Amino acid sequence: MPTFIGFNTINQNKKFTLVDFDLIKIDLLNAFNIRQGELPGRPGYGTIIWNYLFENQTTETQAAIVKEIQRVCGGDPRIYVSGIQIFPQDNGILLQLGIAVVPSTQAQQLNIFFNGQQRSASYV
Amino acid sequence: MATTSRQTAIFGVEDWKKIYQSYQEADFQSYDFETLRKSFVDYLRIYYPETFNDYIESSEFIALLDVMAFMGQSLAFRTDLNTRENYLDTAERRDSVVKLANLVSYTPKRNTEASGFLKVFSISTTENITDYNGINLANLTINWADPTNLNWQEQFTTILNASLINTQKFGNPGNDQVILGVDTQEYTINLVPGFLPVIPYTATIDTVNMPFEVVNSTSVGETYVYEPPPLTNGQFNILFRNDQQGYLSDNTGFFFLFKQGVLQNQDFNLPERITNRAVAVNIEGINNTDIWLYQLDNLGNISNYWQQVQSVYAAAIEQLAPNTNNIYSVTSRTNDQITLNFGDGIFSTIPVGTFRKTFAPATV
Repeated sequence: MPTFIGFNTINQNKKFTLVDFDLIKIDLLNAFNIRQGELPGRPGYGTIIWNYLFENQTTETQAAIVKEIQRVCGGDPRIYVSGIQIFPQDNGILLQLGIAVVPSTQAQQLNIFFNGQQRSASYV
Repeated sequence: MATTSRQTAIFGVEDWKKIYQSYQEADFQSYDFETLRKSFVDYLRIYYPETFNDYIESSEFIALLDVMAFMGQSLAFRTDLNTRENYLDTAERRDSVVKLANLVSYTPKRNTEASGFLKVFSISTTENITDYNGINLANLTINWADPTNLNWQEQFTTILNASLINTQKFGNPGNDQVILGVDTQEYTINLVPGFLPVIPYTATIDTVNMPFEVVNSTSVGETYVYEPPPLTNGQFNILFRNDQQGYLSDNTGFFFLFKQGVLQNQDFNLPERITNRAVAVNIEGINNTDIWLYQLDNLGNISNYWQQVQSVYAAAIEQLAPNTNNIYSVTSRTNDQITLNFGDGIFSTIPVGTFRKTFAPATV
């Protein structure tokens, strides 16, 4: 019996139900893909991480990115962030996130690439 | 029990109560985004706890609910607004009120131009006219109630009589009636051929320079002074009003009717016989009274005057007389624009040909 049951259409054809860690991962990716002000009726929701993408990757910028990632991840009570590493790339930034699911012992390292050209984040 | 199920079966299709019972947890009074969203989520929590529990904001399904809630709010707002605008009690937009009023055959009043009487305080002529004493009055200025001129009244009326048509002299008016206790006599000035009896002038009102026009006036057939249709070669009346308070009274003397604004003409052509035709005049601020419609002949001269009525279908029997069929009504639109409405060929003539509409937009 899964703990978390949700809905997802990304890369799905017939079955749109996602459960547990897969669901948490896709929700996290959604959270990183929603820019602030994009959602109807919720102008405060979303991330400003995309604003830092073309900034010089100084210590201050990276600190701001880490802070923003912690804020976004903090919006999901099901996950615990155990580690954040940022690697500037040619067209964006690569993010390595250590994630643990709070009510279980499941943990995984996620690699998320913020593509500045396509303006989307995806798992790599 | 038996009665209830029988009635439910009979009126099964209309049994809204049953439908409401099926959705008894649905909040049908939710109209705004937050309430709608909460209603959706509550509904999911109650009815689908085992198939969905991903209520985090980044969930795709919640995003879809957001969109639906946003659409629901927009639709509810529009529906509410449209419903409110469809009742006279609750409509707020002037456009809606005007249309609703037109629906019940009431034409809302448009703006009313400033109008009144201009009193003639002095008069002069270049014509060689002699008064009772044989004094040539040419190029003399005679003032009304001039205390320094014992013959002012005789000289004033002598000059004025010289300007009237042959059949009228002071004391023998073209029309005479008492209006609001003031005896009002109409005298027609003899004009040169081809003259349109509308004389424009400007006056400064509260530091604003505004256009006015001296117009023809009459009270024939009515109990008030009004402006008849302005026509080239038409009459141009001066009024003598006497309130029995003496010559120095404001309401005693010779007067012209004046109106604020400038008359405009627009010609339009209606080549085909089309019933119930509506001609829009898309000029804002057209005042409530000054609308006239003329039919033109091939040379562009006025051949017929069309009469404005409240409704082309009102008092239809009276309108069956052949000479009263050239009628139209006026509908008010937003910002005091108007539409000229013509009839169907039975109760009134279908307009065909070239027409000239004359109207006065507001000047403020």
